[in-house]
Parts: sequence; structure tokens; C-alpha cells
Amino acid sequence: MGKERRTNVIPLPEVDGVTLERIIGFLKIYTEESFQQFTVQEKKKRCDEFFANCKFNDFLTLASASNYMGAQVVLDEACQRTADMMKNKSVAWVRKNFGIKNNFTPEEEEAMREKHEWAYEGVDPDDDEEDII
Amino acid sequence: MTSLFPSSSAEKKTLIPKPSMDSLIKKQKLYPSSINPFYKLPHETIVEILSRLPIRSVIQFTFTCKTLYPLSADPLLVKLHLSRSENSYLIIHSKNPLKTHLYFLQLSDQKVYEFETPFASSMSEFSIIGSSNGLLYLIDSLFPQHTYLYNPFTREYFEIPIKHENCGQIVIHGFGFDPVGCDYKVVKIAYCRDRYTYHVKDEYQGHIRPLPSIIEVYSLRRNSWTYNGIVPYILETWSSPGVLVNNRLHWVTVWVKKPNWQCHKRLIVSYNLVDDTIDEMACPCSNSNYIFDRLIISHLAVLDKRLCASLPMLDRDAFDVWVMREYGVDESWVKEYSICINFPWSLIRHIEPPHHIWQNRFGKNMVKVLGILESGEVILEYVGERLVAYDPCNKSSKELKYNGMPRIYQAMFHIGSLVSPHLDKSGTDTNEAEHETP
Repeated sequence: MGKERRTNVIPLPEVDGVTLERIIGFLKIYTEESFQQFTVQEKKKRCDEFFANCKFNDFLTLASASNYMGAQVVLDEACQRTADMMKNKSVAWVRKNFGIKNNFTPEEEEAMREKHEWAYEGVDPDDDEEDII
Repeated sequence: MTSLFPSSSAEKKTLIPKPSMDSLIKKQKLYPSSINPFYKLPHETIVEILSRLPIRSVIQFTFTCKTLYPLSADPLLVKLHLSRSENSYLIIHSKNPLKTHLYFLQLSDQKVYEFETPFASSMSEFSIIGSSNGLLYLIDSLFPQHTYLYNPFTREYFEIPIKHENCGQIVIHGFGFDPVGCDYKVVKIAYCRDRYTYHVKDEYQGHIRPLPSIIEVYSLRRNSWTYNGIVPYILETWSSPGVLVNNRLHWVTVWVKKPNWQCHKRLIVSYNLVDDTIDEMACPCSNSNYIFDRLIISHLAVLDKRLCASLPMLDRDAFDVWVMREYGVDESWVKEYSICINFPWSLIRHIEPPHHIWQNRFGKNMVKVLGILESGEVILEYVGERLVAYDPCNKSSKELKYNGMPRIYQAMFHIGSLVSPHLDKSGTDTNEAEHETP
């Protein structure tokens, strides 16, 4: 009788299946009664378990997707975990894992290195086995 | 709980994250999308990630390419990063010889790192007056009218307009952030030396000597100095620079005696950075009228945002740390720590007779309280020699060793931040930062 068919399918071109599953999965955990009762350490442990097999680029994708979808708690987790993995890594590591192309000239880089030597010292050694994509 | 998955395509438009799509697209232009799919990360997500990193990692990130270099001046990042930062860096100032070196470390590090200061050639010796929100206030030791605000991590610095001092002035300093006015302020209290008595400190003559004292305050926001009245007491020079607690700078007065008092006492004078008023508080244990009960304060400090006072013991190698549990309430001074000291021999031979308790021949306190960690350990500096962590639970001290630790002239806790001494980029304004070239 002319009723409009309502579709329940929402296209999300920015989000792939794996990431969407992770977002939904995490939100399910987060909204559980038992999770809300946990202490801070227990919550962290549970989240660590959930994200155990995520690699660096997975967190970046997760951050992008959860930002697009407005899932704030997932976004916070993804950003924090990305930051934790990035801490104390060398400039070269960051370039490699973010896929950033270095467009400084060697002279410019040398000048930066002289002025900020501390930024290039004491970083974790680059692990060549870290995959990117 | 609102649903995150709207049931109609019309509502999908509300999923577009803030800020508006236009500014998002504009900002995404900063990141060439042809290089990597991860450049789809919107600006504010990158800022979110970076704001959770220690300052070293943030700076390293901005060094990856020219397009990302200006991020260190991004107002949103500066503000968000500062709000997440803690006082987790120790700045160490070493004079070696006749040249100042500046180092930093995080207590969890293995070694000490050196800053290359942009004014190394023009200002070879300087003193650090204070650290606030990641900015240091420096005074040129050779030409004290030249003073600077400096962020050691971003290397930005700003020379404060000169305030001429008359010869023979004794100056007490303080530096801090006014959160209400969003302003960095420098407080200078100057006394003129009376030319008939060499010493300003004639506190034992039984009355307050009303030497003229002037308070001058520099505001970064106004970029000018203003005269703000006088201090009714003489302040001890060893209590300069003032200790910042509760938006107020604190110094200790000389021994004073008010008309209704039976004996001399010291007071703590505070300057409120928010409303520019002066106040006074009692020192710990000053309600005793018995003259020999008065305890000697060696210095003030901040522990966990509370004002505290270090009082060395005359009869043994220990000192007490009294904490003002409730700010402004004189009766709330409580002795929280009683710390035993193991003086290394190299320090003991410099100690003056008991009157100047525990100060070396240069008048510097032998042991200084620097701060407290989340674990409850109190960090001490044995002047020039070592850093020590005191554990109040088992009353033990352990030396903190780091590679490359220089001789310490000054040490202080510092927030590693991106705050710029140029106020228009400090993140307290809404203006966008200009792109800089390296």
C-alpha cells in the first residue's frame, strides 16, 4: 500500500569488515555490567586481551574508523595504544610505520639533528621485523 | 544510551565527526593522500594520538617530514598535550666552568640528555628562576637585566623587556602561570640596600626594618612591567625564587616581631598571580613562644601541589619535611617526613658551623626537596652531587644513577610541553599557528 521499504543496511565506505568487528566487539565488552565493575588494572587487562593480536597499523585503522563512526571509547583506546607503541621509537621507525615520506634535505636534517640531538638519542632500536601494511 | 548505529541513511550525516567537514578537508590537505592510506586520519585524531606521547616523541614525530613539522605549534595540540602532561622531567642546570649546560632526564631513563640552547653564544651563563607549564624563566648571570622565557624542547625563546635595576638592589624573584588570565607572570621584589648598614638582614635588632621594597610584575600577555605595591617584610634571599603553590608564589621572611608577639618568628609571604594580592602565613611550629623552640627552615618546596618546608635537625643528620595539609590554614602544618641523610664526605667538609645549618660556603642548601613521585617516593637533591629517592614506607634512600650526570647546580621538575613563549602560538589563543620552515 505504498509503504516505503526501510533498509537496515548502512554503507560504511570508510570502514572495513575486520575493523567494524573490532569496534562492535570492543563496545560490547565495554558496555557489559561486569566490565564497568572492574578496577582500573582489571579493565586494562581485559582491553589488553582484546587487542592482543592487533598490530600498529590496525590501531591506526581503528582510530580512523572509530573517529568516523563517533565511537569515542574505541577512539580513546586506539589513540592511547597507538601512542604507547610509538613511544621512544626513532624518527625512521615513525616514518616507516606511518608511511611518511621524508622531504627534508640532508642539510636540513643535519641542522635539526644538531639542535635536537636528544631527539635522536636513546630511542629503541628499530626492529626490522615490524611490518607495516 | 544513544545508539551508535542509526537506522536510517538520513541520520548518517550526523556521524561526520567534528569539526565541520569543510575544515576537515582543509586540514587534510596538509597530508598528501597520494603517499599512504593512513593519511586519511583526520587532523584531530593525529592530535589525539600525539597528545598522549611524551614531549620527546612528539618532537620526533614532527621531524618526520616538512608537512608535519608545523604540528609542534598547532594550538589544539599544544593545549591538549599540556593538559595531559605531568611534571615528569627533571631539568638539570650545570655550570661547567663559566658556561651553563642544560640537561634533562626522565626518572625512568638510563641517561641524561643535553639541550643545545639557541643562545649558547650570546648568553653563556644563566640562572633558572622557575619552570611553569614547560616554560623556563632565565636570567643572564653576567647581564641580569636580560631575562628570557624559554621552552627547552621546542627551542623557542623570548626576551622579556628590560626593567632597569638600580645598583645595590637586592632582588627576589618568582615565575608562574596565572590560569585565570591565561598569562605567564614574572614577579620581581627589589630592596634598596641601606648605605649605612651593609647588611639588609639586621633582624636581630628587635624590629622590622622598613626598607623600601618594590614589587614589579611582568605580564607576558601585556608584555609590560607594572608596579604592584610593596612587601611589608624583608624576604630571605635564599627563599628566592618563590615556590609556586595554588597559583601563589611563596617566600620566607627574615625573623620579625609584631607588637603582640612575645618573640621573633618567620612568616611566609605569598603573592597571588591571579589577583596580584599579598598574603602571609605562619611557618610550621611557630606558635611556640619559647625562643629556643623555633625551628630553622632551610627551604620551601612543593610536594604533590602542597606547600612544604624543610627543617633540618640541629642534633643529628636528619631533616623534617612539614606539609601544609590545608592551604592557608596555619594549624594544618604537619610533619610528614623525617628523613635521615648520609652525607658524602665531599659535602661534609664544606658545611659551615651550625648557625648556617647545612649550607655550604656558597650558602646553598646541602639537601633540597625536589618533588614527589606517584609512588610516594620523595626526590631529593644532594647539592652538586646526587639525586636520591627517599621511600617513606621503609624509610630508606636510594641513589638515582644516570649515565652522563653532570655536577648539579640547580635541578627542578619540569613539564615537557609544546607551550610557546610567544603567546600568540601558545594555544591559549584561538589563532592558527603559522607554518614554520625548519
